Amino acid sequence: MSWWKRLFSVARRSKAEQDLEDEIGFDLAEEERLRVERGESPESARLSSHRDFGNVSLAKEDVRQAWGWSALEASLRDFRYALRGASRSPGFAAAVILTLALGIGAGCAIFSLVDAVLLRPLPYPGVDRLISLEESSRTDSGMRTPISPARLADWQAFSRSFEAISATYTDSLTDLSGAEPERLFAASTAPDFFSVLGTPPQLGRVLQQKKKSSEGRRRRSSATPFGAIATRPTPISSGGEVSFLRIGDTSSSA
Amino acid sequence: MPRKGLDPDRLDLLQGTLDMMILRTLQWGPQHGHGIGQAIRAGSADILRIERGSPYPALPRLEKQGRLASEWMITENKQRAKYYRLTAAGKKQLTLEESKWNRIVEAITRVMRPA
Repeated sequence: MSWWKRLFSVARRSKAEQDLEDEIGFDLAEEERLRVERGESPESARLSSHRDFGNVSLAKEDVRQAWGWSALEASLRDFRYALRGASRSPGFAAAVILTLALGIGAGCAIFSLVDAVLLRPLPYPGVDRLISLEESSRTDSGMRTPISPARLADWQAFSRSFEAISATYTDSLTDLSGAEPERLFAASTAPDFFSVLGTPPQLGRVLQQKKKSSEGRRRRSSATPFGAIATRPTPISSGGEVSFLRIGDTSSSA
Repeated sequence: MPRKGLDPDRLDLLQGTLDMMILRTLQWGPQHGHGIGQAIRAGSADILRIERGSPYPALPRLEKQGRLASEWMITENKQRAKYYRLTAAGKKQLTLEESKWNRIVEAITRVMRPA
């Protein structure tokens, strides 16, 4: 409801309220007049007119109920009552509001996390068939070791459980293309990474696999790196060249 | 709003009959709330327990349903009062409720006094 409509409804409300006041006022006066006409004293007529009418406030309340606005009014009254109560004991009110705020905030935060991690599906087709593979040590199950390109090639060649297997190395890179160096969260991928996920890269082109290679990691530092995904606060513009430096490595570009 | 235990000779109103009686009263022409109440009490020979405030919640309800229309007018004694009159829909409703009421009375009478 827009504010002027609300204003209009308030105006209509007070008009109806005035009408009700007048209508019941007329009833009381009319009864009083008739009683005086019948010979009652004015004082006794006034009293018995009121007594005979019944409960005036209750009648008015019933009429208001018949208007059908009472639910809104009741909630407004509740709201005003709550405000009055809060202003009477501000310390207690602050404690209650803080408790509610923390409770709601914590609930929201936890739900956001659960939603992102558990509920929202990953943006790839066939997510239900996607599995993350890791290699761990038999003696120390807590240790996760990176997979070498040769091991990946073995998995690809001998696996019977998967349609396809791809891999990435994640890395921390420094973007040197801007005025200030920027940290990149980067991943070097195997050539078929995007086709295995079934999704095209948002930017740039996918470098085609020339031959099944077990020297992927070495080729990375050669003139044709086999692919990189990088995320950073400012998006990399299409067509621009990005040069980056890997910590402890020579400069290369993608 | 009938109050219990005031006058044992008076009868409480049957549910839903007040609206019908208000419509009936207005068949003779526009009337204000006080006049409606008086007409009903007088018509029932003061047997029905109806407080003067009782018609007032029913009137805006009937108006909302389109069975009554209201207008502020000046009484013979030069007072401003809200007059109600029957609309076409109100007349139709009155006929309907009257026939329904007659059937109820007839049916209950049959049960209470089997031939």
